[in-house]
Amino acid sequence: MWLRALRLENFRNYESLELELAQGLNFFSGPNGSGKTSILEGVSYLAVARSLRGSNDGEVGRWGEGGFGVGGDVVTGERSSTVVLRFSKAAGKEVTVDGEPLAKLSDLVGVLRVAWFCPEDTWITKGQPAARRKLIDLTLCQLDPAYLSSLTGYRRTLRQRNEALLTWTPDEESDRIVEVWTERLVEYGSAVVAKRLEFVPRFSDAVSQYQSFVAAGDTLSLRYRSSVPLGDDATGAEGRSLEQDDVAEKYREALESRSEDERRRGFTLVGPHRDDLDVRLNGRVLRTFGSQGQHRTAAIALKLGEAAVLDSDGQGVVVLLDDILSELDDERAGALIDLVGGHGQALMTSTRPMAGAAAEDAAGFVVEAGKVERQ
Amino acid sequence: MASLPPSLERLIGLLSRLPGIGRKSATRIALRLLDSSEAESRELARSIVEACEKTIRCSTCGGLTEEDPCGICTDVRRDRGLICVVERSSDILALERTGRYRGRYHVLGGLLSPLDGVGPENLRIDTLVERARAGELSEIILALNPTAEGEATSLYIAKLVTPAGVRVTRLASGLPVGGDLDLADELTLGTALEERRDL
Ligand SMILES: Nc1ncnc2c1ncn2[C@@H]1O[C@H](COP(=O)(O)OP(=O)(O)OP(=O)(O)O)[C@@H](O)[C@H]1O
Ligand SMILES: [Mg+2]
Ligand SMILES: [Zn+2]
Repeated sequence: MWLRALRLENFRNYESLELELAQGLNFFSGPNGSGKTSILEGVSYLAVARSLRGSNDGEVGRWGEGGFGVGGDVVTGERSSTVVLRFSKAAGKEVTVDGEPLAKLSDLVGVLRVAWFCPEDTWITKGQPAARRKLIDLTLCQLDPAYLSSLTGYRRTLRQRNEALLTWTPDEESDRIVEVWTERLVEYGSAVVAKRLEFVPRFSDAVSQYQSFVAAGDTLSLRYRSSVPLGDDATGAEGRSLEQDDVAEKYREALESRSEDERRRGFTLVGPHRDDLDVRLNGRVLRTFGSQGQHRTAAIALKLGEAAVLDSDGQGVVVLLDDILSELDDERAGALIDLVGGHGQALMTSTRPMAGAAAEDAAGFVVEAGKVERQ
Repeated sequence: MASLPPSLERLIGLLSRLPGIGRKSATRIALRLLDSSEAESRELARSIVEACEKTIRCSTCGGLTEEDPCGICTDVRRDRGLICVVERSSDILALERTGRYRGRYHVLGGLLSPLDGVGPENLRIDTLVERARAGELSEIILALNPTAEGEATSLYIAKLVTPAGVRVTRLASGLPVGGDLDLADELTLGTALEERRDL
């Protein structure tokens, strides 16, 4: 799949933009604040119905306007379909595919897959577990609509259960309410964990193929760390993954053993919202010892792994690279462009003009104050 | 923009409070109403008042009716051993449209949601348990939307009524996750009903 055309309306600093994109590499250059990242952000709305820059919908619409629109033509094999997402403060988000409104935003998932690279990716290996869970979730959600629905159910149930714990009083009725939310949490949560366990070894294999982004002789591997004790064989990159029923049983036991604690503290202490992904370099957890450069290259390897996994069924993935070439030496930048090109379409931004061998094949665009010119 | 006559402005304001009607549609409807004859507009106004005054909730099932108990609850051709539990009275309409359900109903009036301060005491759950304990009943079909709240509410009800020896089933999936019963088409809903399974 690839994106043939992108349209933005009252989106960031674009009043109205219509772009024809190339199937291979698209290179956007322009000064700071000209609107490069916003183009990639627009594409992210077409894929996952939200900003992968991490902004709220309300911040994305052009200042002074009540909302925004993003549209695109997605080509899959012989077919082309038109996706339109509109947001207004009054009506919220609405998506149509070929003019047909989607009953729910999650139905959009899979129409267009994207992998987003940006300089802040170094926080994946350096920062809090949330950044690493987000990496797993964003990838799995795009691959598997059932995962998205379990995750959505889990998050909502978690909030409900936390509220039930917070307002818990020592009586039968209160216990029954907590119990009901606990059972539901286990149901959704075990589905989430089982899928993550199955996914991480695959992801780890994909990531380890990008050795050129890790110093020679080093190995990068991933391991899922569950807050629910699952036993030794469940979390290793080589180990078998557990079935959902086994996870559910262990999750139930873990919640059971913390139940007094949870009632006293008023929130949920175990579950996939507290899990982590260990990123190891030569067997050591990178977070604790990685150098600046090691974090950066590991992040790129992770992202390349993500793109490879998203493309593993040959459907293609649109790779969005925001301003990361400037952080790499020429050799690595060239290697990255080649690798990304292997997945089909890429949109790349830089404050510098296009250069190097890859530039010859790329479609070049110059961005200037909310206007884009094809070179 | 020139301002509208105050009475018209008031009408538009009231209409736009209705679900799914924005200011634009409200204006269109109001202007259309101005074109109708006096008899027509009185008729409309009177029927609104009448519907509000006469419609009550059935004390048995919680559905909308003019007589208590309602037509469905008193219909002798309906299976008295079967109750379908729904969130809102509009869900009854959706299930009736399938033409494939011959039991009775029970409207909860909402779903469990600690975040919104909704507990069992705010829902018509105690009357459901009473109906379950009264004998007669052999099966309760839970037809709640498969959202986090719908699933939790289903489980809660199952825990309460199963000890009374009632079989508890739920609609087969195939309904959109997080989707509205009200929006599901008749065929899907009818199939979900026929292929219901034990909770
Ligand atoms: N909601 C908004 N409405 C209008 N303009 C906005 C809005 N949000 C951001 N902007 C402005 O839009 C411009 C484009 O932002 P964008 O992040 O796309 O720039 P960029 O080209 O990626 O810049 P940089 O090279 O610094 O990363 C900026 O000048 C920014 O201040
Ligand atoms: Mg930028
Ligand atoms: Zn009734």
